Amino acid sequence: MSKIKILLNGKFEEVETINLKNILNTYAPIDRPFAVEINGEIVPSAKFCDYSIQENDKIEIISAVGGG
Amino acid sequence: MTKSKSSQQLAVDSLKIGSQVYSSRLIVGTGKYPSEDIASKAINSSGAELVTLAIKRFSQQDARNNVLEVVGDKKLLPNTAGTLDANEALRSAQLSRELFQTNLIKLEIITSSENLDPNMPETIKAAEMMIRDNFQVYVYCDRDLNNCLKLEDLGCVAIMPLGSSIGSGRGFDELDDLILLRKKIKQILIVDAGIGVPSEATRVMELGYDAVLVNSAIAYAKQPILMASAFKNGVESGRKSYLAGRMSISKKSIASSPTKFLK
Repeated sequence: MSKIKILLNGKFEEVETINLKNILNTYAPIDRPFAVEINGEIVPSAKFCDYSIQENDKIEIISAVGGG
Repeated sequence: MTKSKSSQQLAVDSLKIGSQVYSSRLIVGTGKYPSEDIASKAINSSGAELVTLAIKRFSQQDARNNVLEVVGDKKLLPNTAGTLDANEALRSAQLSRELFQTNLIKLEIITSSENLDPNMPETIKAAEMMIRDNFQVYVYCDRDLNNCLKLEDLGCVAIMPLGSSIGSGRGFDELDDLILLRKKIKQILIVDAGIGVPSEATRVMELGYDAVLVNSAIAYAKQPILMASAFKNGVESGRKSYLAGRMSISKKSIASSPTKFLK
């Protein structure tokens, strides 16, 4: 399968899958909750398995940090 | 009779903000601690039930730190830190709602990355958008009465004027502003930002503020765990003093003892 280019957390990445869940298995944390936004839209976790990404999609993986 | 009434008053002196009820009037932040272990112990030592936290892009460098382990079972108040306009703040709030499964949000829109004072036009705009989107908005704001009244009218569940600049530990730039706000604002009022020592927390609690939010003063203390405990006591003392009601101030001395020897 040919690679596709995505913008993931502000960096260009080339991935071999269009399945969001597979991408998250590589790039998302495994020990804490996270949220996902694609092209400015929040993707609920229930849709991760069925969501297909496209070339140049802008993906944000967000997690918690300390703050005041 | 008075004592009994006072005891009852304290026993039910919980803090209701929106749909939430808290027994502690100290809210603490989770940033800037020297270590996760110290953060966890300090937060527990503070007695706080509600803690603030932030969101950011996940990176593998963050993998060794997990703020959610630090906060344990505390209630979460995510902030919109780092946002510069209403649209960014709403986006941050919606991501936090998805991430933490809460509709509580600390709305915080700064002027720039160098000037952390609130951008009030954008804050007011964002408050309106968030309330329409069913968030319970705790709003970090300036001390301008008209701005605070506007935020109250919009339906923010807590109005949180800054004591002084974020992270400064300067205390109160204009205590008179805070006194005026307490007289005019009926909604929950919380001092957010600038408090440096527990006596300052006590002072605003004595003025009738409902709570204080503290991060840097605890995290940057030489002994954060001990300082967190000091803030817990300071807030409780101020609240009790407010409920007890201070004596009236006199320009002349009034004796507590006989003023003539042996008569």
